[in-house]
Amino acid sequence: MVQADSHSQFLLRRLHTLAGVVPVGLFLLEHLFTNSMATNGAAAFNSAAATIESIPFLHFIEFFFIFVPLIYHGVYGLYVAFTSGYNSGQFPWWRNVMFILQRLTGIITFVFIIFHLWTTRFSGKAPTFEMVHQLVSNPAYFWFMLIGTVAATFHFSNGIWSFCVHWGITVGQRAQRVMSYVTMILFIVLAGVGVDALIAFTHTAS
Amino acid sequence: MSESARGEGGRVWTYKDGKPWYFLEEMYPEYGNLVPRDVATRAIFHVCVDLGLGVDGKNQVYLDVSHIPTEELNVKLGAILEIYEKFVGDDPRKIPMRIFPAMHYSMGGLWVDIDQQTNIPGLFAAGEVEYQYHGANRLGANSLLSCIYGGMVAGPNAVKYIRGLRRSVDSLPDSLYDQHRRKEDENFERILKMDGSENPYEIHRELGQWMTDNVTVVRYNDRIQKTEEKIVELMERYQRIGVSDKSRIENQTAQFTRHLWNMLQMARAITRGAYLRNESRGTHFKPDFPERDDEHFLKTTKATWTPDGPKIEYEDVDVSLIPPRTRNYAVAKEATEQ
Amino acid sequence: MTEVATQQGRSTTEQVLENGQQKFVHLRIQRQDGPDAQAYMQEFAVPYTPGMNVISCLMEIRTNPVDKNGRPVTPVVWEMNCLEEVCGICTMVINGKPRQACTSLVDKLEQPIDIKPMRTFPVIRDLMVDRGRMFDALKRVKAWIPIDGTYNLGPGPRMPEKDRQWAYELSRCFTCGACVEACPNVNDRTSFIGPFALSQARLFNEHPTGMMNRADRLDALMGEGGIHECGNAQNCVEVCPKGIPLTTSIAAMNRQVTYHAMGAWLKK
Ligand SMILES: Cc1cc2nc3c(=O)[nH]c(=O)nc-3n(C[C@H](O)[C@H](O)[C@H](O)COP(=O)(O)OP(=O)(O)OC[C@H]3O[C@@H](n4cnc5c(N)ncnc54)[C@H](O)[C@@H]3O)c2cc1C
Ligand code: HEM
Ligand code: SF4
Ligand code: FES
Repeated sequence: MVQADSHSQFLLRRLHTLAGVVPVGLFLLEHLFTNSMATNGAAAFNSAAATIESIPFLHFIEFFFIFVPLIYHGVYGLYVAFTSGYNSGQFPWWRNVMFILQRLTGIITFVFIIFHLWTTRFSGKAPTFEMVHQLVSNPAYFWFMLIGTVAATFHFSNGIWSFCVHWGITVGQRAQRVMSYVTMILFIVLAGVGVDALIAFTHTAS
Repeated sequence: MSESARGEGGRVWTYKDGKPWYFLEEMYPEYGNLVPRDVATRAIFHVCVDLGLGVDGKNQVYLDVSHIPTEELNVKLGAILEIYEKFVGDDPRKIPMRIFPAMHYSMGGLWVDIDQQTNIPGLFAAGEVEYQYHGANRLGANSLLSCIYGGMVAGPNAVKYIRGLRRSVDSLPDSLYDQHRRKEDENFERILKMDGSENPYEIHRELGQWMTDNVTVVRYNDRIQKTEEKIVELMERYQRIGVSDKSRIENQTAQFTRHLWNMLQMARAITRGAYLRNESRGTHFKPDFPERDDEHFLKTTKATWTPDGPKIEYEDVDVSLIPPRTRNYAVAKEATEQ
Repeated sequence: MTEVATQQGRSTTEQVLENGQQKFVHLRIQRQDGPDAQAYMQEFAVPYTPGMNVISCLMEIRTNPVDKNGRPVTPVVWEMNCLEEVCGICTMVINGKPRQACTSLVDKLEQPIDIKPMRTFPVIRDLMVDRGRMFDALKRVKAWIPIDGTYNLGPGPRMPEKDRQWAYELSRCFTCGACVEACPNVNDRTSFIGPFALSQARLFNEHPTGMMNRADRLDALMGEGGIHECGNAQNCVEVCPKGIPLTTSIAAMNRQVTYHAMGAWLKK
């Protein structure tokens, strides 16, 4: 029998769920919010982006509060997705399907984030409306962004539901059910905000 | 369906002249639906078999809990009612359950002394396997009590027995064990090789049918005698069993065949014991001898194995502390105590 | 004697005719001759009798061990005991769902009835599996109340009736393994002990005397294969024949381990 006091797996796992919400999830919200500025025109977006650029110690914050937790959550998430079984063919119940979608959208998000960062943050170009506009003018890129955005917002929203169970916040069956509705509404709202911003970027800056 | 349904207020009835007939309440006004299980069993038998008043003409009567509030039922009987519903498809909270008595306990068993030791020195027995506490009858909920008590007696006595031994297991020659092991191995090999035309499960089915029909609730000597003849016939057929499974991995057919022989022996001992006891006592009920006969049969039946079938002897029951009195559930307990 | 539902006490010789023909029950059963042998399917047709369940079909097969085409086969190996869904030993995968063979009524099943052993557990032979890992899990979470000793401890503390009622629901778990079988996170890449064990830990943590070992149980749940392996697919609660609120138990235990872990860390 394994030593009962070896809690490392437990802690790593708890850290994973926490990272998904606190730094990474919050960043996602912030990111969606900034991008949605694009719906008010190029100027509004550029000024929001500039505000972020002006945060002191930006690189430090980005690295420790976004990249590290994101990489941790992402890589560990891939491992979790790999160790899970998938049996919705035999048991096609709602939560089981959501369980699979959570893992599937995680993997999509992983690929999406890498490509997204590579073409934006690490492209060497300044984060301006014009740069994004150039990218999404390519229909393939636009659809890729769309799928990524929907996947990421789904993953986050359904992740909130899962988080509430993992931390013992929603215990009873009714509480969990109500939370299902709440998080699905959250998903629709966030996905709407993200897609709306994407569409806004397709318009030329005028 | 568990007896606890009666305990919680379930009422047993059937239709008579188109109206519900609460026969237990009528026959035993003092105890009503709470009469002991042997009495209830016989009453149900009488109503179904003798009077032909079973529900839908079948051997079944109603056990009705539908008058008890649903919440109370769910708290007290939820689990057993759910199982009934799964099997039958009716909700017993609304529709009376259809029931018939069934076997679920073996009274009698291995002979043990007051220390719970069998007649094989060093072999102790406690619980349903042994005979001590529930001779002709077992009252509801008393089995677990006797298991616990028997265990508390057997445990310390086993330790005492071991401490008193001059030689222990390891000091006995290996050949002793090998010899017995070989015997069992040979027996098993013999079973694996059996290739006759009889099926062990079929023999078992017939045995069960005969025993249930003739040596359970109502017993007639002529039928008991026929049953013993049948058992002897089954024992002959046993020799012609074909074991269809030759595997050495979890071979259930071979295991079953092995056990079946013991079942046949056991059934024969029960049957012979029942035949010789010409009285009615507890669950042992012979319509031809309806009274309890303490003079001849306030005794324990002891069966010993012999090659020609069981040998029956009797041992007196110790009644020095509580003198026996008549069982009468039609009147209050005090009325039977003069 | 006790009273049984009459369905079970029916005569075995009763036959059911359909247009003057004997009606049959069709079954497809996965066979496996030993722990390391290859699995294969075999089809059977057994005479139908009313009220039949999967076990009575299997009993019919062993009494007349021939396949659908009348060719002799070895009898199917399976386990049974209580025949009333309280022992849990007859759990198998019937038409794709893990459930008890004894309460799987033929009349309510689509035919041919597809029967397989549970895949989560090592198959010993045919439909017989080794559920040993479940009992190991129960040992690990100390799913009992230690009261044995050399002297009488006196009456234990009482439990409020309201709590007793829900605790009773949890106590109805009979280690049947259906929840373990349905859980996607119980597989050979994880060491998850399974939903039932988390629920049992909750049951004994709630008991006024069992509470004394609360910390041990929570430590076990935080150990290897513990509660963190649960990914909330919630199949367990769907398949549990006793309707045990497993997902509530899991969330409640998540809460308990959270407090326990934080408390332990703050006290260091
Ligand atoms: C449906 C039902 C309801 C009941 N309700 C009540 C009740 O409400 N109250 C009450 O007091 N009593 C009740 N009883 C009776 C009571 O439950 C039993 O009499 C009691 O459990 C018997 O316990 P035991 O330990 O003597 O035997 P068992 O529990 O039968 O244990 C015998 C053990 O021996 C094992 N064994 C058998 N053969 C071998 C072998 N060759 N090698 C190794 N091991 C072997 C078996 O696997 C088993 O574990 C009920 C019985 C039934 C069937
Ligand atoms: C936008 C970035 C991401 C966010 C905001 C995010 C957020 C979350 C949240 C909130 C959870 C719920 C935690 C819980 O179950 O308690 C979660 C779970 C999960 N995430 Fe992510 N995640 C992101 C990226 C990823 C990536 C890249 C992967 C890699 C595949 C991933 C894989 C997973 C997995 C497998 C789970 C389920 C964990 C479990 O149920 O045990 N996530 N995520
Ligand atoms: S929790 Fe339910 S499904 Fe799981 S083992 Fe117990 S009774 Fe079976
Ligand atoms: S035989 Fe006990 S649950 Fe089916």
